[in-house]
Amino acid sequence: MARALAEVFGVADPRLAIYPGAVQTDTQDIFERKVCASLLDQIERGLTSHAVSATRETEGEPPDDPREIVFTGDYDQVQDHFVEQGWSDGLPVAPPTIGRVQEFLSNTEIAPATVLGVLEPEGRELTVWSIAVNGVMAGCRPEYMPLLVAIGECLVDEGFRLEDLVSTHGFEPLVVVSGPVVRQFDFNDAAGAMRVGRRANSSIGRFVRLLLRNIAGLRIPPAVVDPGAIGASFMVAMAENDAVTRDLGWAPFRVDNGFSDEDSTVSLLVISNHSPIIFTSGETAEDHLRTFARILGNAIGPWAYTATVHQGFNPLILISPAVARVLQGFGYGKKEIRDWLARNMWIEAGVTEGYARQVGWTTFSFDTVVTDPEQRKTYVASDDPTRLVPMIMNPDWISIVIGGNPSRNQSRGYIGNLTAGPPVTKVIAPSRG
Amino acid sequence: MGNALKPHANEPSFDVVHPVSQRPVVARTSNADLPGLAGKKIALVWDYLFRGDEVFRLVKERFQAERSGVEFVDYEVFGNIHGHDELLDQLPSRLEEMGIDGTIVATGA
Repeated sequence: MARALAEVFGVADPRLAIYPGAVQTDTQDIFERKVCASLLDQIERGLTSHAVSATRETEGEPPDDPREIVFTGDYDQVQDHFVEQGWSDGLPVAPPTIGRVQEFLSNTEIAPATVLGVLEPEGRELTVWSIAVNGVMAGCRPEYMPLLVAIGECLVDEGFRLEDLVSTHGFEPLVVVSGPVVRQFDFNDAAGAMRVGRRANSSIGRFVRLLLRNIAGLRIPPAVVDPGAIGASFMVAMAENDAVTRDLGWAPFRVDNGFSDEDSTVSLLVISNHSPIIFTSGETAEDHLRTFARILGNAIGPWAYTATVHQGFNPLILISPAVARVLQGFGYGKKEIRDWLARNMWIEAGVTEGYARQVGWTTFSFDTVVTDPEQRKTYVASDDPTRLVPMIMNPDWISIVIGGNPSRNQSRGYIGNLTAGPPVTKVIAPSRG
Repeated sequence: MGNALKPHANEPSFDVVHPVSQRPVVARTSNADLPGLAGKKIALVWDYLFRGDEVFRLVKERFQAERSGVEFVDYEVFGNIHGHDELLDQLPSRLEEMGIDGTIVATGA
């Protein structure tokens, strides 16, 4: 991984000293022996007698002209070739022929050679052409092209922090669409909202992962660039139920993110994991929200220390239309839900401090990392490890989307990650097709 | 991977394009090697993960005993670089101002 990143930044000969094994699981004795027997010599060599390696490998690089035909074969041969070259996610891809790619490009005003940005870690240019090619492969329809371009704009936005996606944690982007585009492209926003089965939801979710593979370079072995220790499958795109949101009188997700009600938008969030289904019922709003807080809090778990350290954490709740209607009936809107959850999600300090140490911050304690006097009153009120500390310090960190089966009391939380995770939202231009 | 498939009769053939795009060419030259650690000022920079503090303790023990006059600037001086881009942005100028000869960065994520 370090070598791949060094190459991206133009350093062909990085000075690396690599610990032999899993540093966090070795006992103290083994750790010290390995450091002294291997690491220290590597460090000194790196500083004083560094061997210069070859320059960038050019074999397998794409041709200068992206329209050049690089392979000809029947359907099965194309599949085999794409797998052999590392261009496929393992599922059959739609062959990216010039004709298919042109059809996608005809749905956008933006020139094919336009570079939206560069995607780390491999540092390749995200061009409108490459978006079309990977959109074809993912099974998207040509008219999705403006939405695919908007996803590309999210990926290259500094606020998205793609660099945080490139970690051993193996985070996954979540696409959320809001506005007229949901009906226009026949997204599923109801029962089975996050299940494969509807072309728009499935192919657009797959498209994002293909971009991360082919342009960012996040490929699993035998390639070496994706550092995800376990990772996860791509998520289908989430679609907001606009009719119910409107009926509730709640602001839709696009308006929450600063856009107008008339817009169609796509948002991209970094997701670590999702919660179990949150079944709720009761005689008061608090009966429902107490369960939300418990299950959402469990899904965040001791990883909550990262919210404190980085002053950011961005869970998204997909609330069932039925539950949203009940909460609205109790006088709760999105703001009241966010405020209640932020006030009522707590974790034992010792649990999250201990986890931070297991993750790898071996000296972690709130006493040493929380310096703000006001926050210390909350986080370092005592040295009792069973004292409770807040998980979400800012209610605005919580995103709310209405969707799923309208006749079930089931919702779900999607868990973000520290500085990565605030929704990055872009307007979807009208399709020209 | 199994045996390569033969073309299927009566099935269409596809001329396909490359799905991967170009990488801008950036070339940087590494700094020259230090002639040795003796008498040099070495910065220790850490992302506060994966026992970097313990590695640095052993680094200091070994090299201060064996390389006379080597001086280390501890990681606390630079702060936790994990997720703190502003610290990373300032790092090159701080290293220069402090007259650092070499840097050991302990990192993982």
